Amino acid sequence: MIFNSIEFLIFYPLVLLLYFVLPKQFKWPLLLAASYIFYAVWNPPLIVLILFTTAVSYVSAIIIEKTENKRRKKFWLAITLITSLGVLFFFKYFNFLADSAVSLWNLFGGEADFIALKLILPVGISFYTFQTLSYVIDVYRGDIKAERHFGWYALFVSFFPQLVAGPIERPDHLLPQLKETHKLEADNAFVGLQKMAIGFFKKIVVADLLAEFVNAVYNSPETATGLGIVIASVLFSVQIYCDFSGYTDIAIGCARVMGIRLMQNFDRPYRARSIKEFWARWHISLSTWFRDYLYIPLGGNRCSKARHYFNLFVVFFVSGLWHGASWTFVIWGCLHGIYQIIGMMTKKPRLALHKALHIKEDSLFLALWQRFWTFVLVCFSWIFFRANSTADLGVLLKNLFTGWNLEAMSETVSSMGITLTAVIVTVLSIVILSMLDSICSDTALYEKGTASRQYTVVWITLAVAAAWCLLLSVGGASAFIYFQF
Amino acid sequence: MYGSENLIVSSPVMWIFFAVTAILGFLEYKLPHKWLWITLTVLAQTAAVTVLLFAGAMLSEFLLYVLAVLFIRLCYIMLERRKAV
Repeated sequence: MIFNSIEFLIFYPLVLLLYFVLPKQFKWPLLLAASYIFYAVWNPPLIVLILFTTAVSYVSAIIIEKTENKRRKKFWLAITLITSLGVLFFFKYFNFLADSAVSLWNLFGGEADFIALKLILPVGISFYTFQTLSYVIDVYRGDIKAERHFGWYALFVSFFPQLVAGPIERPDHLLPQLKETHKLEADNAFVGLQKMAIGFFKKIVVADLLAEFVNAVYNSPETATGLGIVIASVLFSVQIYCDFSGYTDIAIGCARVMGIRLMQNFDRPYRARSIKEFWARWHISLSTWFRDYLYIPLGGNRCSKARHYFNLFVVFFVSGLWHGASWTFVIWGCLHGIYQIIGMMTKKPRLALHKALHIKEDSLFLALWQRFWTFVLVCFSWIFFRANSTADLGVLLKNLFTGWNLEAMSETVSSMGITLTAVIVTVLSIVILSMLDSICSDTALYEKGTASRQYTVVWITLAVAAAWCLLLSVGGASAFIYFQF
Repeated sequence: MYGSENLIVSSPVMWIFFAVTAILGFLEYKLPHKWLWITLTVLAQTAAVTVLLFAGAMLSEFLLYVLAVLFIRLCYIMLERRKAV
């Protein structure tokens, strides 16, 4: 089930009503059943996979906690890693790895052939796998106690607002909240519904609108001009932000109405002044997961410079791989690793240059300059992320640098389907989102759900705009981009 | 979705509605009895949407109108927040 669908608009109020009406002992079974129904709408048999992952991690955590023997603890941790990651690797990466191996073999004169398995990628598998792994690892480290109640644990893994595309929650943050008794509170309802309104607006009005223009270029790379690729990449940077953060807003809003607070996943990422800061603002739950469970165990930055750079590169390589079974995602991840390494290597010379030019570190000029170049680097990397294949990527990069014909600029723009109305709508939407981000970042005000009625009119307007677009959209509801991960 | 052009941008009637929205927003910002101005704003928007419907506006034009009105409203909200700070 997707959020931007009529089914969800019926499902969610029903679940809410039952959640607040039913006695405490029936709440977790209700949410668990609702979560499995939410997931089963995609493909019922895939429930078996999430149940399997849940069961393995549940049992392993209890055994790890009970046993004093360190070797036995490590053994059960290894079992969890192998089974959970094994399932993920099989469904997500088998065809990719096999195809790559065959291609490599043929490159050296072999004549192997490969018939891809018809595997359905279970929606949300990357997210719930990481969530269960963080639980077992935290138990192994002694940071948390193992959950003995299977129902609560299964709910933690499958809680429907964040099941399919995050945020990737930590057990010590979400589990206790699921166990609390929540009553319907005006502040929670206001803030939750406002968050959902913003999320729907971002996804249905902005992201889906921009997708039309982006697809016109990326789905026909041979005919794309340099200007077209630049425009499409900038628009894609807005599209993917609105699509993914829109989903997160809806997820956070859904949970908030129930009184459950999910973690923040985005913090105005395009305000970042460096790639390092970008990753502290973009998909925060994933980047902190990698920091805590990969980067720090590898040694983090408490090692030699060379090792530090290596650790960073590995983390971003894995991050790229996590995003998708394609070399374009891997290259995208590696590119961000390289960005950060170069950023660290050039930090001292850049600081020295600022000092020599008498530019203060807190000056507005420097902030804008750094934000601009960070945005340019991120936009360039989105080309790798969005390209449909490595072959397309090659064509896009070639056209980006050589396909410039200033006389055909208006043709480029019209071939993307961009009209005056579309430009005004796009610009207005982006400006409105920036203003909303500014309001919502004022947590003291925003958290008080019964604040100014002016905001209520704003949220209702956003929701109405989104509802209009959804009801009248020609192609029907579109899936969120991060569902493919 | 974006097949039609310029109904909103070129129509004097729609620009009058924008002006009315901006003025009502200003009155709500400056004067007491905010519910009066909000009610009048809602009535003005309803009239504008009715005009758009009868003029055969496309979805894109409804959207453009809604966003323009939202933008005007958010400008006043930002001004109020600055005043509060």
